Amino acid sequence: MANLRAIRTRIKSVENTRQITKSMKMVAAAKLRRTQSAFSSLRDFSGRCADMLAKVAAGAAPPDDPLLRRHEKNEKVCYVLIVGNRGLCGTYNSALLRSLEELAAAEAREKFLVLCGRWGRDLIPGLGLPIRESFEISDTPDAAEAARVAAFLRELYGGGEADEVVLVYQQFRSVLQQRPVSMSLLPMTLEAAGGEDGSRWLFEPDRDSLLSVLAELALTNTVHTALLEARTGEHSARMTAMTAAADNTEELIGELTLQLNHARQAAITTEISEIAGGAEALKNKA
Amino acid sequence: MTNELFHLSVVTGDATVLDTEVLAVKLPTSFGSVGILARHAPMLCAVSRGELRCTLPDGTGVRVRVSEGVACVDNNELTLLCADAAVAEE
Repeated sequence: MANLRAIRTRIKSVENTRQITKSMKMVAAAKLRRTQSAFSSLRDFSGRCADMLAKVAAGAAPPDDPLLRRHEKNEKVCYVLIVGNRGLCGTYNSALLRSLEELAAAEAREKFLVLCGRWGRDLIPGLGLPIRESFEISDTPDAAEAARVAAFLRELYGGGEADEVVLVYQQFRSVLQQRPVSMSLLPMTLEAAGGEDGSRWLFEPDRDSLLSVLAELALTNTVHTALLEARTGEHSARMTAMTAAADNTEELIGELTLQLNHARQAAITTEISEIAGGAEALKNKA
Repeated sequence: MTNELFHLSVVTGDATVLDTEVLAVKLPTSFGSVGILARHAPMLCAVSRGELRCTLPDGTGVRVRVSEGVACVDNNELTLLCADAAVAEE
């Protein structure tokens, strides 16, 4: 009977876990929908911003802007690591850290980190890379959060504290697939619009001022895109992990129920044989 | 003022704040207010923090508070990209 009680308790506990994993999956799915919708709004902005930058860049020498200027000495690199806000999302965070480790190992320049996200505050210092700044990023990052990070990076690059700024994050490919990527953010590179020579455009007040405003918008936009993409990946990784966990609990409950039935059957059989044995003994006595 | 319409879009990283046909637009810039009507020459213009005013086809005015950004006029379409924008309450 003790065995039966233990199995029943175990089933109850696995059922509770199933409930939790199912709830977490639904929460992740809701957050995923929100980030995906924010992502589609941002895509429109990104397209228009790139288009305008290309128009300003067309048909003239690249203007001298602090965000576009390459530093003469190239000694310091800043990695902007966008980790998740929480765990329980499969290998999302650990794969990203592994990719950063590989990247840092292949880099001879002096390097440091700017962290975006809450996960791994006790784990990341173990990588041996100094953390210059940490940013709290919400589950659906908005333009204001991206602007805060972009302003910090602009100051860092403009002040000569970094000669290159690289974004390291999990690129969202599909709900089932994310891929760690690194992307050079600063200095920015300009791509001129094909077939444009810039002569048909009026630039008010002038190209350089326009370029400086557009470069800032583009920088914020790139950071915002990366933050949203990373969060979209995090929510989908968590949703996938929680789906797998919920499926495992179902399987476990099935196995435990089978064990319970076996134990129950064994108990009944033992009881019947005891009764039969007792009855037989009484008959012999009589 | 002509009665010809053109398209106005005010887009931020978070949302498209305004997407409508308009008769006229006044943009806040560092060198003063710039008026735009239909068939304006292609132009890229730096917009400063302030209030964008536009006139809708029925004659009503809409004010939009905008942060620093860039406006692009081309093919009877005016697009303003900025970090932050909100339609002002009348």
